[in-house]
Amino acid sequence: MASLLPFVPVSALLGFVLLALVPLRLRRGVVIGVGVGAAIVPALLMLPVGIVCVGGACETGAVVTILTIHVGQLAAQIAMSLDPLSVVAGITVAVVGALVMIYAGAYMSEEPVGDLRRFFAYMNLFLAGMLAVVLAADVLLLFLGWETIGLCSFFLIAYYTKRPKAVAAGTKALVTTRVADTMLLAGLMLLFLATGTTRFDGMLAGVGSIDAWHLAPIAGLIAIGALGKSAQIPFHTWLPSAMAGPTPVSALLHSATMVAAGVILLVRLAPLFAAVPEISACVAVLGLATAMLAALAALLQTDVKKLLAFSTMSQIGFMVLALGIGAPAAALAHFAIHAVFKSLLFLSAGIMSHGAHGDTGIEALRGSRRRQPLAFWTFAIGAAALAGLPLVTAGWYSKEAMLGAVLSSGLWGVPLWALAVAAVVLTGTYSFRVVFVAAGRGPDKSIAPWEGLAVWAPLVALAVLAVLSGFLVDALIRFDGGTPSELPWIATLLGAAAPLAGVALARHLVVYPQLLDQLRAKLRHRKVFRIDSLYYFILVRGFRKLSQVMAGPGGEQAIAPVLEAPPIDVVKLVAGDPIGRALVASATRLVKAVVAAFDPDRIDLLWMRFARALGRAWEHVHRIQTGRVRDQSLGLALGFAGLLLFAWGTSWR
Amino acid sequence: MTGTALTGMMIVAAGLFATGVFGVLARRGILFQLIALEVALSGPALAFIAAGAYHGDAEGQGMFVLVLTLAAAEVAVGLALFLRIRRSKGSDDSDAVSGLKG
Repeated sequence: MASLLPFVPVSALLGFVLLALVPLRLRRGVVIGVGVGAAIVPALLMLPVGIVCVGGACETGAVVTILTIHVGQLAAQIAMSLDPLSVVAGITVAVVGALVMIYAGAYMSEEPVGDLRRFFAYMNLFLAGMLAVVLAADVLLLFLGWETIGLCSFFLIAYYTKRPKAVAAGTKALVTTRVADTMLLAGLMLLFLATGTTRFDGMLAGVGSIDAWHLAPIAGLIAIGALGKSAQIPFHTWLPSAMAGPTPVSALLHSATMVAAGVILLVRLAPLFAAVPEISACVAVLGLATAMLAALAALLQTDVKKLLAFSTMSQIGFMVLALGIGAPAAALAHFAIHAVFKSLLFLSAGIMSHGAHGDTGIEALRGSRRRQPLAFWTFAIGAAALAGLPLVTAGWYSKEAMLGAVLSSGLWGVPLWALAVAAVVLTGTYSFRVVFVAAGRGPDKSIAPWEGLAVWAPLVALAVLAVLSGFLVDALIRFDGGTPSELPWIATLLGAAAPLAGVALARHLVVYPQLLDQLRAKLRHRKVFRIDSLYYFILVRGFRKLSQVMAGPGGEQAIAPVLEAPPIDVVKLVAGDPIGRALVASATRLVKAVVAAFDPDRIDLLWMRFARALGRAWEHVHRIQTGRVRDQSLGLALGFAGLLLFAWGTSWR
Repeated sequence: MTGTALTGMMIVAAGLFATGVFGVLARRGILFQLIALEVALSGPALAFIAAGAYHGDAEGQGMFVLVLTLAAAEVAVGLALFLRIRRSKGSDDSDAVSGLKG
């Protein structure tokens, strides 16, 4: 049954190829059918694999090799692994992906056919890439999928190509994650050089033999890559603006799956990070900081999608915290549960804002309980799971597992745990603020509601999962090789009280909304909340200025003559002061005697002459640049011949 | 296959390649340049086959199939470009597209 594994992403990939490359005009129904159908098949394929895995096949950690590339001594393999991590993450991604795509089939059905086709093509490509990431047993496949989902994220954020804001948000996400991805690539390459294999099992087995000075940069670079993809501080700025994409995109990519890819990578490489406690501590602190700051920021949002974006960052911050203190099993369990309830929240929020004429403001949702009871109640269930209401929701069990792991992690456990509990209170507040507002009395706007199985079935399925999967959390953690932690009763009680306190606070804030406005006004000028503009001022403007300086106004900086600085009449400045005048006079004499000898600077002159000579050389050289194909191929052939001669000459024995 | 035969084959392959490259450099019609490219590609392909036969290894033929695929892909792109150029410049003279002129 393990041999079924490589076929899981295939149907999604086929769906992409069919929708993107077949040069036929497809009808709307066909596009939706192909797009949704291709996304459901992976879920159907993952289920038997999961059943076999639970039946004991995962114990041996089977690896299915797809392709082996022999390069000299090295054999690079592209392979998929059948282990608890890949099965849990794979089932989560495939099931949530299938449900979101069913919903998307209804949500996007009014778009023009061409755009619809583009949408489903990218969504299917994304699903294939994401499945490759979670199932990969080697670095090659992981990185291939990693880049694919990054690219799809860009295309899907910028889906509304007519809105400049959406395109800018896509560019921002692409550039920010690219910085992190470069670090990840560097880290993975260093790891490859240190261990000599591309397979994860070989890499992790070789970790022990790498010395600490090499291991720290490797772990640091990989951690930066993972944090960038997961929108953790300091890369968190791209996620809120990524909400410019359609709602199903936000539900699948920017909450449930893609942003959690960093968590998956960290879980996969957990033994590597366990070997470098300093880096792990940094990761844990960054995760906790993100969890708290994003929770606070979510409290201040006025747009429900932005609020959910910040809550995603905050929840992933919890996972990263658990990873940093060495509890990958708890983090993975929360990943699965979070994917379920967060996509549920996005989908039901999408329906509620549709009922409010497409307005995503929180205030616009007022009265949704009357207008769309089912959407409201599923949103409330999702919010309860997000807040982690004790006993009844899945979110409580997984969050409790992570908090327990934090508390029992040693000396620093208690303060970290206290801060995390504070973040849990905030989580309860911001999630239930929306629920209370939506439950309030509002205008009875009449708009044709969405009906049909395709809208309600995913919502109900996700809502049921969000409640029932709580009973699976302990089993999930044991399955992933962790041990559910036993907590002192006082900690459990405090952990259970925190979300309830949050809900009470939310009620208070809804009754007295001016409190929130005051908080907002107070926090507006805090630096943490303006990192976005800070990045703009330092990085973007700096880069623009630098490129302007380098190129000059007409791009002729390289051959421009040296400008002479205008002389400042210093003597006049100190007129009437004998001591000052004497000082200045001696200084000018000194300048004349010493500095003038170097003016103009010989080295500088030489350098500039060289630069000007380059300009003249260009005058001559550009004549051979005829632009004709045959001349260029002659150059190509001569260059290759020269290289061959060089290679022959250097390898001559 | 003997060593002499291999040398002969290699000379033929080099000749084929040189003919092709000369064709690319000397012709101006895009279509003829494409044909010359095909001739040039067949040189290394022959060299692969000959070397594979000499060493008794099937990888030479594998590389030949790869070269064939490559040639087909290249022609597909090349012909599409040819059609575009015909349409936009109105001639099949490769010198007409000299947008990269310095």
